[in-house]
Amino acid sequence: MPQLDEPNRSRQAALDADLAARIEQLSARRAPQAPRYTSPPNPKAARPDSKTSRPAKRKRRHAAGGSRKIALALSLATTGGLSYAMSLSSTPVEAGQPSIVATTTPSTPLPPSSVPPKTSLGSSDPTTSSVPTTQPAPTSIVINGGTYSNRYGDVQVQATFAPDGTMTDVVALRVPDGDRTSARISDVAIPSLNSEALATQSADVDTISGATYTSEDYRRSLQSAIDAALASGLITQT
Amino acid sequence: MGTVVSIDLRPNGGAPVTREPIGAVVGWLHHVNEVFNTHDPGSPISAMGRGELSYEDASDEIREVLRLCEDMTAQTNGCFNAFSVPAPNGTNLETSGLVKGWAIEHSARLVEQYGYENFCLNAGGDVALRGQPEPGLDWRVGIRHPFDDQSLALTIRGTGRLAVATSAVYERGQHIHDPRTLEAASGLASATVVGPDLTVADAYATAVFVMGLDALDWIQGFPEYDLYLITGSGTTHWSEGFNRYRG
Repeated sequence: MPQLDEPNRSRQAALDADLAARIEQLSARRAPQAPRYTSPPNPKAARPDSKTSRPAKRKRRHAAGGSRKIALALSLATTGGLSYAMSLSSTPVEAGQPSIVATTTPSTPLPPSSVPPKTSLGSSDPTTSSVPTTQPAPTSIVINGGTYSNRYGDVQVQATFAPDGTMTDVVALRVPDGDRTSARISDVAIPSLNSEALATQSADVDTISGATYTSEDYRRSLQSAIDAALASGLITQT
Repeated sequence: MGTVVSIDLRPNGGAPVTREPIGAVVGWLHHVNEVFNTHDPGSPISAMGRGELSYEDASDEIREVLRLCEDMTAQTNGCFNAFSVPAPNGTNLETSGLVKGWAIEHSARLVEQYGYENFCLNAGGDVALRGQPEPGLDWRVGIRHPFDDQSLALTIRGTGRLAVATSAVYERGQHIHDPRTLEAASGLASATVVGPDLTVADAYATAVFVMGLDALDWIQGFPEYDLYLITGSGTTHWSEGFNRYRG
């Protein structure tokens, strides 16, 4: 958008001053003894949304954004070219039971690829733990996310965490029409998420605007793995 | 950002598609997520929301995003507002409504720098297109139907530089606040904005959801952008220019 890429200087200076004042107000608004937030000086004329004395309501989480950890996920290859999907983690989920499937320690490294996938097909797996009893802190924790089913199939991811909470690997154990061995992080191919589109209409489309089921379920499964990892106490949230 | 991103690169002529642009985009998006993650109390945007990071001390990219947020607030008559909606970190600075589109728009520029002219980026249903999928063909973007998960509401066709952003209420409940009242926005079930820039389209889609059908008049002030709206009762409305995208 050209008018945003090349704003004229005086306008930008005014905008910067306005923003600096607004940011400053954020700390004042949060201070318990501070007076209520009132509209800051505004060099722009007639801003329609004067923000006066608006107490913060925080009952709802703003679902539009946010994540705790980033995770990197699937690589896709389609007939038309190279396609790739990644997840930037997510908001809390309502369903699905993740399970801790393995931890590794310096003395007994256990690569995630050696962990057998869960085979149950429901929308949840029982939580199981195989935490070594006599070992020092594990060097990695492998957790299967909950399984989420949609009309296109099941979606389940397996996430590997370092003790500091860093997610080091994500494997899609199950994706619609997918083969778990072909859905590894930043590698190889699974059918495009757009297979949903093929199923939804006789007319083909290249992509879908608006959240799709597979992407949502992928996100949920990954979030359940993150939540389980945090709840396990095996990692710390940074 | 809570989303899944797909990157669909189409070859230029007979040249093979390589992974370098994908790595660049993934690295960039991870970086964006670290800076602008309002679920993470340790992120710079959270620090800024708490008043611990001043505008003067913020990085250029944070300042750029805040300026864009202010532009969007002005253009949408306050229906988009990063300083009003409560964020997950407990502050009242929430840039996520713009950052996703902005990050993908920048990603598109990254991919272009690698010489690709034809590709499709999709971040949780917000789409940035370039070029065409194959010589002589239009990109076809399905709009998910808000009530019937087994069908698409319609298909948009286009080539060149095109962004498609949809804000909608699906089965997971309403999640867009009217920044003027802090109440959940209502009236529309789905709002799709089509235009050249995904940063703008994404922010507009959020604002249009708040405006409701009044947005059809409002969008006339922005001739590069068009709307397709589905109300809660299932009626559909679109701006005149939208017809150019209908398949």
